[in-house]
Amino acid sequence: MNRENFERIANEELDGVAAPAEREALRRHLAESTSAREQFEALREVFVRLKNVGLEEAPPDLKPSVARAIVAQRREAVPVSRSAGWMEFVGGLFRPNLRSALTFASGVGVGAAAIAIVAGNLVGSNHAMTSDLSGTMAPRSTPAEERPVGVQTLQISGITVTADTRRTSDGVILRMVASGNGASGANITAAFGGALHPVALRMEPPSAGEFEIDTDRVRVTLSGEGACVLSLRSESAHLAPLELELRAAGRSVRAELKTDSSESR
Amino acid sequence: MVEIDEQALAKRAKSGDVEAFTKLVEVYERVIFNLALRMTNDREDARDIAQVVFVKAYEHLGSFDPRYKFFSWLYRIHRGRCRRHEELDPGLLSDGSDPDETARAVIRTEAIETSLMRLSVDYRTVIILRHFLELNQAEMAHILEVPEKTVKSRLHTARQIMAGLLEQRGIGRA
Repeated sequence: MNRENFERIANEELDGVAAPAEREALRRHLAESTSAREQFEALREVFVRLKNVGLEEAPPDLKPSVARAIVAQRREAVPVSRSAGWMEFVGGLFRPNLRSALTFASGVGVGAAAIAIVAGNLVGSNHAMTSDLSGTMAPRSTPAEERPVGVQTLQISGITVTADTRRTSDGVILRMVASGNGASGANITAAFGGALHPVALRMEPPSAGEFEIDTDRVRVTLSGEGACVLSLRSESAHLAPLELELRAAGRSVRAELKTDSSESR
Repeated sequence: MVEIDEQALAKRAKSGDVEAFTKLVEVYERVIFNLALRMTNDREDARDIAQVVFVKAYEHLGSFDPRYKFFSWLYRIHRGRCRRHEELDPGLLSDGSDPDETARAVIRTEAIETSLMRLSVDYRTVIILRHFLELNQAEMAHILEVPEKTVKSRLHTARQIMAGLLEQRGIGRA
């Protein structure tokens, strides 16, 4: 077997596409030639090591960054529909049932009213829109628009999660800050009632953790110290409290957090 | 990976359906990030390149032909971005450096990743597409717009070079 054929068949064998006859010829050649065996093993080592490298996960902030850039682009390109575009895109980042809710909220007819409500909070002023889109995923109200209504602190094994709620003109903002050496591996669930709808969520910093957001709850897995801010739009002036649960180190603690006139326990 | 109707999504995205485009981002963010990571060997650069690829893709959705694979189109945008990166960092592509220094570099850092970075762009690309993204040679030929025999030749040569670089580190041969 000449060198050119050997290299071709050796590559095909390791690629899993060698024909049976050529595989047999390779086997015979390897049995006869020490040099060929060494070359084949060197090539096999390349395959093995490349396989061991594998794919890395994309950075968690990649998708939100793309979202922000595209929202900014849509805002410049189609100013009339920018509120809807923001909703559509951020909704698309979430799970299907939330997407459905947001699609409904931004649909034709009632959609126009819904967008107007959301726009008042989320993209109501140029100042808010500019600052939010340049640095965070979720728009936020200015402090003057927010009214503190509840605060709770949950602790497990050195992990402290402080959560507070603030009312805005048309919704609730929930902020959860995790701290402590044991923050790694903390899971927080915040459940909210039917009169509240999640609009946006951001992690600060984005590497602080991952989240899953649903129509009635958000689950946050914190991988370090950081904050999670959830914006909820309300359809009613009378709201039930948020139910919080912190799980870590095989234990869990729960608390309720008022969102309006309800009492925290 | 979840099976999706990529063509349908791409058509919807092209007609302005942002949710469909979001789904395509979800499907390909890991692939595009890893492509960029293996081309640059720098997570921050790779993240930036991946972001720009998706934003450029969104900007130019109008030029995408849904009869073809969305990944092929994304790859070409990605390739353009990496070329810009290489122009900014010409050292990345230097393949005429001192072999002894190359060998020492391999020893100093992770052998296979360093070896990969020592390959020229054409060789590195076929290794990434075949071994990390697990494309077959026909798919690679389509994406790279070269004949299959060229893909095969580049792949064999690239592996041979990598085997040699690993050997310099005392890995691969008895």
